[in-house]
Amino acid sequence: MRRAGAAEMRRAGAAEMRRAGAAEQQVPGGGGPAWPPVARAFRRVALPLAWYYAVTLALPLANGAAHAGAAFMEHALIVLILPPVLIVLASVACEMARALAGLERRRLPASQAAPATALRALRGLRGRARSAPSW
Amino acid sequence: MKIKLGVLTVLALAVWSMKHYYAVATADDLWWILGPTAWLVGVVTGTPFALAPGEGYFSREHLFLIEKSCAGINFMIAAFGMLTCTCLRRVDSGVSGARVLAASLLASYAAAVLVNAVRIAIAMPLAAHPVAVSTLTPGEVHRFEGIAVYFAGLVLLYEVVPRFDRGTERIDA
Repeated sequence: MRRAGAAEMRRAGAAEMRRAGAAEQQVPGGGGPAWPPVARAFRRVALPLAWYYAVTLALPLANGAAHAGAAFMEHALIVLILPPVLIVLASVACEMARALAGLERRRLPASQAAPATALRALRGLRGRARSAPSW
Repeated sequence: MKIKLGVLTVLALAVWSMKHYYAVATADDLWWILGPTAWLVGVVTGTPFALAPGEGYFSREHLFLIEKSCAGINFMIAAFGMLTCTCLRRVDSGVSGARVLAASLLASYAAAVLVNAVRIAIAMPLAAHPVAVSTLTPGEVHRFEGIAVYFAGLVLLYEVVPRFDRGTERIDA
């Protein structure tokens, strides 16, 4: 009975680790740590960006919008530049928020860091269950 | 593979047809998207919009017209294409292909009405109280706001749909 319980816990732990690994890989455009945040953000929104450009620039150009002259060119320039600027701004804002949250976490006294402590305790329990003898 | 190619071909034809329809349609032809959008903007801002034949939907209170170019058809086309490509891995038969196309079309329509209503609800106070940005005209501010809201809406839709997709997979299982 005890042996079965420990084995089950080990299996659950392994499954959880596999799920965590899979989730890390499944993040849309989630590359490895070699990708800087801005490049990762561009990879992540590549499909919406491609479709946005296709509908607002490629299709009108294919329909001969370039003949409209300077008016279309000015519009096209704004459409071309603004989304990447927004991606960079959003990515920088996210990184800053993450860094600030990290600083805040480090500044918090131990008594206020209850969730993190509870998580560590849980991890410790799981580690103990993993190393428990399987008699 | 053949079925997926077929779905992509149907998608390309549908996108081309929608774009052509949008180019030749009048504001009255676009009642199916302008009507719900005007209603939703009215609900959000508390401003009633009345149908102005040949023009679109007009608010006398704010002197604001929701016209053909405000219909959000370009957003709907982009969302339709993006959603179909996102859900393409679910296609393994003709029926599932038709289901993915239909679901993508419905979702893109709903998203277009919602995102467009948000864009107009933001544009209304901006038009009433133009933002004093040194080099930008109110028209340019309106254009910038439109691009930002549409692109953000597209990215948000792209982030939200896989969650629903995973949910339906779990239900299927």
